[in-house]
Amino acid sequence: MELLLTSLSALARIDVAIALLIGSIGGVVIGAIPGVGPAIAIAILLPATFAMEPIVGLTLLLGVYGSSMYGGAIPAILVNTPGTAVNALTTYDGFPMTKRGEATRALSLAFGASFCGAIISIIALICLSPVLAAVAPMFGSREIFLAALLGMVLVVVTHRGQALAAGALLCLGIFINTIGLESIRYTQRFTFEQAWLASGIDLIVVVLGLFALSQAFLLLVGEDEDNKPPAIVGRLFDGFKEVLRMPKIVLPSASFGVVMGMIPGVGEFLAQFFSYSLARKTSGNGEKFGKGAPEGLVASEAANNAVPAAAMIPLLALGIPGEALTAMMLSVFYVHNVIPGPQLFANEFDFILSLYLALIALNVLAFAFLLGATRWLTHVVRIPNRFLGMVILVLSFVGVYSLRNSIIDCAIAAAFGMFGLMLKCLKLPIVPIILGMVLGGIMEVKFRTSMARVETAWDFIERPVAQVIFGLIIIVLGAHIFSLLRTKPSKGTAK
Amino acid sequence: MIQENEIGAKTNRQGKVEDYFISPYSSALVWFGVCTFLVAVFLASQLGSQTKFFEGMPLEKQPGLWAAIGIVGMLIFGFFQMVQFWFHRNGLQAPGFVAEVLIWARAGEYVLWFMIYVSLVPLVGYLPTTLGFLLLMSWRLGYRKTKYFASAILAGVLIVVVFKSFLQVKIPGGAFYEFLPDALRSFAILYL
Repeated sequence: MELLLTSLSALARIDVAIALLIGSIGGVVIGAIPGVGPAIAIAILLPATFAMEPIVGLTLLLGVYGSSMYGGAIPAILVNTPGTAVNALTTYDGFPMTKRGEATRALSLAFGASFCGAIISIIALICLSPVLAAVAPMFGSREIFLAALLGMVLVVVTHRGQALAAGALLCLGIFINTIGLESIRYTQRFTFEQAWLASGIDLIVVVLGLFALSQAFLLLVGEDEDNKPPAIVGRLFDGFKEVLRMPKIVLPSASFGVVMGMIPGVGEFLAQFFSYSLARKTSGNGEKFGKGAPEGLVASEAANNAVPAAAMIPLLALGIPGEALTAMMLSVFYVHNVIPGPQLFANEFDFILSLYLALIALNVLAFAFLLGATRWLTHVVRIPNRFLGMVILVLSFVGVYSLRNSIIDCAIAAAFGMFGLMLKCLKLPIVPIILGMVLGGIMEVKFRTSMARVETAWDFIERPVAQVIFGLIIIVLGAHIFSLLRTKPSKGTAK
Repeated sequence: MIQENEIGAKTNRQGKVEDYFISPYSSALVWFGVCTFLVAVFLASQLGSQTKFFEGMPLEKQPGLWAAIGIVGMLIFGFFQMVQFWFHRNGLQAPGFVAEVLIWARAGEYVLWFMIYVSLVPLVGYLPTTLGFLLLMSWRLGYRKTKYFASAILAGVLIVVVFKSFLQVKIPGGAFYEFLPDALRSFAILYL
């Protein structure tokens, strides 16, 4: 109880409350604008949060992360354009519902399902916290190294059909992270005797280039679309009651979100995919999926909104980000010399609880905001793409230049922007590069500290947690190879 | 896996969720794969000169270890991707290499715009450069209606006020501000 009160008092501070309000409402608005998305917003806001206390900065970023998917459902449902990447499945049933004149119902179902998914996820995590607090101290350098390795393996194998490209880009991320002066013997790595490379390539510069600038360039070379969303008539709260009458859809979907969110490298889309597929089988309404089935809409929205809270688990408990957004949040910790990991989870649980309470508050705020402001928000869908691209360019400058007031950083970001544009045009994944940079750095340090206590290869996995993680790596790799072998003969059979 | 570039892209399909996992090969993708593989080969050739491996030092402490892991990983994945491209050479799909490169070249213009903007901010000042950039760019993009120019000015002022005046992000005052009257100069350097 005392812990809860301490956490609540941290949230009751005016700066935290303002960050929460701006983050949650800003996240909804950003999510509702097709072409922006939370990754861009977080990348731009990141340097600004360095001047804030960790709880304030993280609350702001969490607000954007957790609430953007609410907003992303609006263009997905009204104009068949997902506002954020994870709202893509929402278009499958949301837009057909709009076409048959049920836009308000579709929106209210999406908001209700998102809210339920998020709250179930947070409650599950609060209940799981004592277990996590007990397990976290069992993670030493070797276990964290193996967990990061598991994250890398998962990032590669979950990019089905693109695993080789994802692997190459992940390794590129590992390589980029090594550029500059290394900290053991102070030798230069791949600086080509250029002074500007000696300090290395900053993660935020790469993130802003790959996510924000590349998206700006992509929008600028494209065409403006004439989005005309239909009018919203009726009450948006009714869908919440309808969602509550679908526990067989909401609970499994939120559970998928929680589990997938906790596994590094997996994330929202797989959670959404599995929950959507399960709902199609179990709803008894499977033939209508993809043609405007409310159950499909509820399943995908409940699953994707359950992920953000769960994605904080590997970050807070092990210091391992599972995807690009939490990788960016990790830098907020590092800037303030707060090292997320087992010690944080075991010793500063009030901080963790404050973050969970912030997540609950931001979901309530986002939901309440949507109930009142959706009619107004539909207008942001109409902002021309190229105008948006121009504004993202200006915002990206703030993010890059404010780091070190370096024009060279801006040039590097622009180069990564072009590289990101190429990857996006070729439909290649960007996230592996970021995770390669972050996880590669973690693995380098943990490998060095682990090996000091290791004499034989077996010593590396002598502890139970290390054995479990190592077993998981083998299982994931084995399952991936098995699925590859199984796919090829079936194609031959089809011929 | 779904891409960030699905954002803002109008979807026109009904049905298969599995479609998101299928990645058709374009000839541009093959060229891109070959070029990145060659870059990896070049980096591998520089491993000896651009990083150090000390004799007698344990492997985990070798400065070049992780750079080597990254590069060797790029080579291995890149090589198998070449093999995969070879086996799928008959299934290459549009858009082709030239079409893709033209898009990338068009984006090059906006890289220039961005770098000119970045270079001018320390000279002219954040607010004037931002307003000038947004107005000129609106014109370049073909917006002619007053509402777009007004929106550009509003966006510019909002960005500067929120980030520099309110959040106090580190953007230095422009050299041009030195010529302003005393009373206005310090205000401009701090907030604009």
